[in-house]
Formats: sequence, C-alpha cells, structure tokens
Amino acid sequence: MKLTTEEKQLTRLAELMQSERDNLFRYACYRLGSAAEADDVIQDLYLRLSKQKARLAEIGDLRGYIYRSLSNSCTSILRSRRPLAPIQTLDTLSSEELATTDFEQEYRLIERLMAHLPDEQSEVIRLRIYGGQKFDEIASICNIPLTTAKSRFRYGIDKLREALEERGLI
Amino acid sequence: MNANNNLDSFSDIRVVNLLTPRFAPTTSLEFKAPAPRRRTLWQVVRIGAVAAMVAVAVIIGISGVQTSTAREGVERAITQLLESDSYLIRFTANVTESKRTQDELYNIEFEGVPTQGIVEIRKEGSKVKMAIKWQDKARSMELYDGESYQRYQNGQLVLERPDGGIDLTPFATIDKLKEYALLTGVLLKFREEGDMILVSTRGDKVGIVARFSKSESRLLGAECSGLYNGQQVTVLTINQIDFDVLPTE
Repeated sequence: MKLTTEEKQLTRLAELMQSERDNLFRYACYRLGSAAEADDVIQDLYLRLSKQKARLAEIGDLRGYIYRSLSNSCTSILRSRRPLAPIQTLDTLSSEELATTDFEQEYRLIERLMAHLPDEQSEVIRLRIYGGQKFDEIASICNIPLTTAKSRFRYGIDKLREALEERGLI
Repeated sequence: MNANNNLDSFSDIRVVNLLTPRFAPTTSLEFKAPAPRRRTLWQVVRIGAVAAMVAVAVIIGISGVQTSTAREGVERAITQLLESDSYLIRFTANVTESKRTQDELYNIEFEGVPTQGIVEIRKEGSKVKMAIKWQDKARSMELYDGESYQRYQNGQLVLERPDGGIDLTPFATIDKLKEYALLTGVLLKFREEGDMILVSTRGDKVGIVARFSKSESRLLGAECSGLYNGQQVTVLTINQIDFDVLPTE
C-alpha cells in the first residue's frame, strides 16, 4: 500500500524515536530523576510531534529537533515543580556520597555536580554522557560550532575536577 | 575540522566515571508507525460510544494489575482473564438519545441525563460478545455479537444491522497497551498511591482514570471525565465490576 506524505513522516518519526529511545530515556531520567516521569515526557513528546504529521517534513534535522524539544520539556517540568530544598553544593559532599548504590543516590550526586556548572556546559555533558550523543551531534542539537561543543564539555569536566580535587574527593 | 568524538579520553577519566550512570533505569516504550489508514479503538474512546468507552475503561483498569506483582505471572493472568472470563460492569453515564436511528441508542454527552446500565462482556474464542442493558423506561438492550448489532426495547427486536464488534486484542499485555496508546495518540500513565494503582489516559476530549487495588488484586472502579464549560465533568462512572459471572437475563 502506498504511504501518504503524512504516513511517511510518522514512520520516519517512529523509527527515529525507536532508534534513539534508550538515549532519550536516559537523558530524561537524569534530568528529571524519575523513570516514570521520563517515560511520560517522552510519550508526550512523541504524541505532540506525531500530531504535526506533514509539518514534520519541514524540519530538516528532526533528530536535533527531538532532543531540543525533550530538553525544553524537561526544563518546563523542572520549573513547574514546587520549590523543593535547594540543591546542596559540593562543599558538603563527602567521599561516601560518591559511592552511590542506587539510581536515586546517583541522580542526586549527578544533580549536585551539574549544579556546579553553567547551564550550557552541563547540557553538553548531559547530552554526551546520558544522551550518548557524539560531539558533532551535540553541536547540531545545540546549534553551536563543533569546537564550542567540545570546549564546553572539557571546561565543564575540568571545573568539576578542580572542585573535587580542592575538596580532596578525587 | 577535526570531528574527533572521543574527547572523553582527553578529559579527566575520574570525573567522567563519576558522571557515568551505573544505575540507569530502562524503558519498555516502543515506537512504531501506524499502519496506513488504520481505524483504531481509541478513536471511539470519545464522547458518544458507550460500549467501547466502558470496555476500554475496564480493560485499562485490569491492566493495572501488571505493576503489582511479577511481570510474567501477571501477564499470564491478564491473558487468561481476557481470553476466558466474562465481566459484568455496572455503570452510570450521562446520555442523550441518538438522533440517527442507525446509531447506538444513546450517546454519552457532558450535558446528558445520568442513566444506569449494565455491560456484559464475554469472550468466546476470537469473538467478544457484549450486551448493554439500560435501566430506562423501555428496558432497552443493545447486543454486539461480533457480527451484528441488535437493539431490543420492551422485549422486542427493533433494530438489527451488521457490526464487527469490538477488538480487545490490543489490550492483551501491558506492552501492547502502551504501544497501542502511542500509536493512537493517547497518553497512558501508571501511578502508585499506597495500595492503589491508578491507570490514567488522556485523550483529546476525555480522560479515563481507573483504580486498582494491589492487595485485593482487582479493579475497584473507573471514571471518564473531561473539561466542559471550564469545569471537570464526569461522564461515565464504573460503579461495580464482577468477574466470572453468568449473563443476566
């Protein structure tokens, strides 16, 4: 049976979401700290995009668009949460807390480390480590030059290394 | 330009290791493009189709059992339930009489009159047979036997037309249910609150919330509601569900 333009776009979207599923999910998990919320935000994203149907054809870099949309959705969810206790700084981090034993502890540790960095650096690190993206892909997602993507990653890691070394944690 | 994608090797491996997830959860989401021009059951989960709405509300609720115990055992239980059991569902719906005579007797509408009814669902082989018995003046009854739709009023057959009935196979497992929901634009959520598992959907106009008791391993009830004139209005309430019951007269 011949597919319509809309059906072709939906097929393209579904294939892309399926191939990126684990990366998208892991990225959302480590932004939101909840597997259930990560599932929800990805389902929501897929449904929103699938309703655009023919308009999807106008999006050249659909892959980058999906990651940007997911990042924005996660940011919106985090903003809408009721204010919780502020994220603890690295000053009170102990070496015991570096040895995490489950997802919740791991998420809290990563959140603390990320909070030490400017948003643009933490976003590149998240896309790299949790989203499993290559630097050229990150450059495309963030709409920045490749060299900028790499330097943001390196500066972020260096900043964390310095902070952890100063505190005798590594 | 150097597109080296292995910058991690130039970075402090101790920091990268600290950030590398070791306890990342996994997902079972599946994304598949819809088959061309496919008509789906979700399309009838809308204001109007009484039988499908009741069936979907209940089946979604039954699927809540999935998260309460070991996956394989529960999947077997759901499959068995869907394949061999019968259900009797007592409900209240806001209804108005259909204007077109060939349609189902009532439409569910936000501004409809609350009316009680009983839905009986029986699965016989690959066919799902369903009857809706209304507690109205004419003691109306609607039958779906997988091949035709029949309407009885005051004990007399008043309408018969071909009707393929309702396909419940997409709901045989939780993965199928999630996949089906994604294919057809419905958001499906599972939440635990104490002993209760809440399974909810969100469609364009109405949403379904089903409540499932973990300790009793049964569906407690379900409601369909939506926004109408700025207010949340419940259009369908599942009051009681009995399994393994003989058909009522």
